[in-house]
Amino acid sequence: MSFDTERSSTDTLVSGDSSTRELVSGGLVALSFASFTVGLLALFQYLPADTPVAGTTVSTLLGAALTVVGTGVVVLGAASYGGLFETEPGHTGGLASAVFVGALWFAVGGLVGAQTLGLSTAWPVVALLTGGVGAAVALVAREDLGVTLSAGLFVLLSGLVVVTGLVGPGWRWGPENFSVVLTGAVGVPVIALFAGLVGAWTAARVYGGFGPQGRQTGAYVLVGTNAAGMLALLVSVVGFIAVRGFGPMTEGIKYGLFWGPWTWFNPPLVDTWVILEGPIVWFYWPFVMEGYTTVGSGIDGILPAIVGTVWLVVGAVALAVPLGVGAALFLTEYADEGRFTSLVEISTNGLWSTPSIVYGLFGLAFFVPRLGNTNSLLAGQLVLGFMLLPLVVITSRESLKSVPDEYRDASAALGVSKWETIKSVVLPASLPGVITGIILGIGRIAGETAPILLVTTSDPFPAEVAGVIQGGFRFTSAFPFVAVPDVNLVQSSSALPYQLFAVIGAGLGENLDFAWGTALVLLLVVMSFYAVGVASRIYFRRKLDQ
Amino acid sequence: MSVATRLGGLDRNSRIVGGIGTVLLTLTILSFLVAPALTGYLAVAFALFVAGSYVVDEENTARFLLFVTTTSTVLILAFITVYLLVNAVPVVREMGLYLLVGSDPFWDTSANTYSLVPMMWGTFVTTIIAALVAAPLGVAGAVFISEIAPGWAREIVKPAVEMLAGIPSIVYGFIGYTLINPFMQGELSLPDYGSLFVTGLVIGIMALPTVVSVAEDAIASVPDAMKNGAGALGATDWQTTTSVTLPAAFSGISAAVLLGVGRAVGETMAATVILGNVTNLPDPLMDVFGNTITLTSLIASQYGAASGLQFSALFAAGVVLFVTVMGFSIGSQLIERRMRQRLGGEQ
Amino acid sequence: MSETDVTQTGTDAPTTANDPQSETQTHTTAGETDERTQEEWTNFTFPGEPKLAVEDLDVYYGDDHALNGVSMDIPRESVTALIGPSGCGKSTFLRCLNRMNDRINAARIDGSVKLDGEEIYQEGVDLVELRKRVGMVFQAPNPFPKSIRDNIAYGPRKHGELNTGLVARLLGRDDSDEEEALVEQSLRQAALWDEVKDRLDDNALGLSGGQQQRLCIARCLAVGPEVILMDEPASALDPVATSKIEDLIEDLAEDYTVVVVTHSMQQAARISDQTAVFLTGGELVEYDDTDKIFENPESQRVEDYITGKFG
Repeated sequence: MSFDTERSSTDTLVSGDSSTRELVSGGLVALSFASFTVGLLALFQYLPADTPVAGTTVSTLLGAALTVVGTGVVVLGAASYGGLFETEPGHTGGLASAVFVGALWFAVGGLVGAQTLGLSTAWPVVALLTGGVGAAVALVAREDLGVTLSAGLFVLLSGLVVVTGLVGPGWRWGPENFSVVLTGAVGVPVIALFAGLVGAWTAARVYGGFGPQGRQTGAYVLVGTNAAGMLALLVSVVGFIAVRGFGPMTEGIKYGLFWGPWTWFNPPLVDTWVILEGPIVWFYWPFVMEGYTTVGSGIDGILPAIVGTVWLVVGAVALAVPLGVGAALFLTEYADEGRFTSLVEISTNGLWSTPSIVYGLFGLAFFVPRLGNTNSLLAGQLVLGFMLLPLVVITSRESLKSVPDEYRDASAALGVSKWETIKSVVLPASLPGVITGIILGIGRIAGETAPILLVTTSDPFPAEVAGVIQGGFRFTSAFPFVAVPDVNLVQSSSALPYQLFAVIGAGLGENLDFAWGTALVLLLVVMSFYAVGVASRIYFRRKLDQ
Repeated sequence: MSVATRLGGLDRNSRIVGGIGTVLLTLTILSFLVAPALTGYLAVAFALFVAGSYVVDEENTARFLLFVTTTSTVLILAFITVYLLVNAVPVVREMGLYLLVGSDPFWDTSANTYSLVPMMWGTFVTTIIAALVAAPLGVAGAVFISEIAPGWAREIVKPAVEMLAGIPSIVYGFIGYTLINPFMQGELSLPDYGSLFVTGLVIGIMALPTVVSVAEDAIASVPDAMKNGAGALGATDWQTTTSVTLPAAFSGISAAVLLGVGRAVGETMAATVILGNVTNLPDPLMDVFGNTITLTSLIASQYGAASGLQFSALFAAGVVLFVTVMGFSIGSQLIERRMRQRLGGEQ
Repeated sequence: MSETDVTQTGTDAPTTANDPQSETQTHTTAGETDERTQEEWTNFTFPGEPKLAVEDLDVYYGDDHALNGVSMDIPRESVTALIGPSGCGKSTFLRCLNRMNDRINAARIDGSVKLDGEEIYQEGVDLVELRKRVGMVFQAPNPFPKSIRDNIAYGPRKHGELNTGLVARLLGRDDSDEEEALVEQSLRQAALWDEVKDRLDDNALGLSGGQQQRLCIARCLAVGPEVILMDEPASALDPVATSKIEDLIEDLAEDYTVVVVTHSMQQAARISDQTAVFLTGGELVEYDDTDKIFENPESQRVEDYITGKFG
């Protein structure tokens, strides 16, 4: 920007120099986040609290860092109160902050009371007392003093407790009435996590110069951390399974280019075999191309589960998509708002929230007795189709609603009938949204375990693929000269999510690697549906916005 | 409008198509209920009739077919309700109120005594823990996506949350079983493999994406004009969010939390895999690190061996689940309807 | 300024071709003469220091050049109207004066705006302070879904100038009386008091459109601004409500500097002291006393626009 940045002393729009305050408080925010991160690593034992570092331990370092943050925040607050920094503190820290800080001190009082007085009737009294004082300080004192004092002292106290080893590697405490024993290996990281967040929040408030701006900075630090946490959760779940599952999943993959027979035949006159040879690309992936080996030392595979999932998804889609899109069309194009549409809406939303295990129970009571009295693919397809239905109705309806009325009017004005208009104008325009919804729905039902557990599966470690299609399409000598393959959906089958459940149920033991491999394949299948669905939704929305 | 006048409003053709079609379809469904062997023939008859009628009168047949598909959601919900209730009747008749309030022995298959108290307590505790995780974090995530995030961050976080929703529950259960359970037992000396605390935590994380997505929709539906109005008065963005946007979107956000809680109540596989599924209350009752069972994991862990009264008791658990979740669902819809009226209607 | 020339020549060319007699009036001669003339048309002088001094302001939305080198001084305690066809940049210009364009990520702003001689686009400007001094009323009424009282008191409460509620009462800092006075004063100034005094706790969304807009003006006044920016404040209202708003604007000019964007030339003529005409391409073509603009504009394009030949 090409603005004149010269400042005159009479400026009222521009606040005074704040670089020192921002530098110091920014440093404290960074230090707090460092403690938070190290605390996280320590909690999950990547960097245990008693790891020696440069002559001391992680635990002591964490304590020292928190002590610095706590002291720093209190000093900054006092400096602001003393007028050393230019800030805009409010009369009070605000009710929300006071409740937040009060809860912290309530916990401190409760824990200290419980540890020193035992979990007798006295601890709530101590907790309420400290909590009340903490909240009152934040509420009554001017913002810069109250908030930094109450929150800063909390951080300082946490730091001191850890740095002095009061809660250190050797610490153990089993609260009465809870079957849990807290140790230093968990206690120190948890303290670091909490105190780190509180320190970052308070320091950020100083960074923003208190007042509305300071509250905003403090809140954004917390909300931003939460968002980063969700990202980290996704990355760590997917990453962890990928790392652990990749080995088992890819074990024994063989591929290569061979010189082998393409085809061979026996010409009638020359009583000899003619063999045509050529290069053959050969690819063998035992984990997804084999069943579970019942004997011997071969690599266990999950082919039956993959095939089962494919059948289930195909059947569910074949059932739910026509029903769902049809219902969405009727609701948007034909029905008037009224009792009938509200009833359908309530039912659709109800079906959406019905727990999957309830669908399973329903399938068990309704379909299984009527379909050969056995667990079957068909029952699973029907039940999963019912689960998919509300998703298809809801997303298709949204997509149909976003088709502008002008399209319908234009078509109607040309004398085209309603159904013709729907077929030629409305459906094509809404297709991207409908398809996206279906893809996301498939992702959901492909990972669904509970209903198929009740209605489809039987063998936890199948060696063979369920033979749905028998015979194949062929010509025969008798009337009608063609034989269609037998399709038998009334038989049990495995499926990917069930396979994972079955391994856990059988006790992981030596099957642990098999389980990780199965989890990775399941995740890849489901997540690729989601990735395609989410990406296409973003793509079509962007196109629509233009 | 009464049914009669509505039918009268339709022309002759559509009445013929609708009449015959409805009869055939009803017969098909009825046959599946009483004589499944006949269903195939009747279904073929229905299909042939519809095909023929489509050739003759496309417009009315299409309309009839779409109407039939629309009734499917209502029918399915009705069937689920009826079949759950019918199968739950024997145990209700046998046990009466003991089912809901009975004390020790809670669940004894040899004595044929069934009380759902431990399961309801397990579901209640895990749901509370899950709600404590999912509600604040989920709403904060929604605020981040729709109000705070700069463009690039939104484009990362929003799809990431949607992907998070895609992780199958059995995968969460697997992680809880193989990683968190041993951790809790090793580092925190839990006596049992599995606890309500871990289950609630995992279920809360699983409900998180639902809360974020629905709450974000609600927040995004607050008109920009309102937010600009606050901005022009000199309110900071955070003040605008807390004092204008969030109150205006309050109903939508509560609906989001309710839906998330509903998801948590019905979550099955994570609970089944992580919990020990002991059919007793934890002792003492407040011990969230104790082991018990939820309504969902009861069904998933006992359906195989169950018969007779025990089988019926599983359906009773299903009814309790179903009723609870329906309550949340309908509640959230009522709230959302109120929000729409409030933001859109009164002007 | 070369872009300005191109646009202007382009627009005027057909007139010249069709009507040879108008040659004397048109200003098609390219080059320096033309530029100087245009500068003179927009160089409106008045006694005293300007409240707002805008210099060479450019705004881009992505590739779109929404405002093209606009310079104008706005006198204090008067009504300045900004008129022009839609898409001419008048609303963009208005939103630059309290930096509301900052809320649009894609906007890029170049140039200088001085409020009482102080640059509002320099680094470190406190937007809260700026918007307290330069208030804004929007095209469509946008009251918060809160009570009438809460709407009026919103700004002062958020700026920590009024403390009410439980905490304030506990701390003995309750400003309820001041708040009551401020609400009444603001509503009286906005000529709304008599209509709503008995239902201050009702939801503001229950008011009529015209009442809502006056409520928004009162809400803006409660913050204590020096300048009030209005973006077509009456375009969503019926004729009766419009005339009330217009009367109100004229009254406000006694104490405030009012800048109004309007698409209605009659409205500009009725309420404003001086008028600035923006034409396509985001340029300010002429700026002068309202009477002068409407009776005897210098620019042929402005005359065409006012008489309805162009725009």
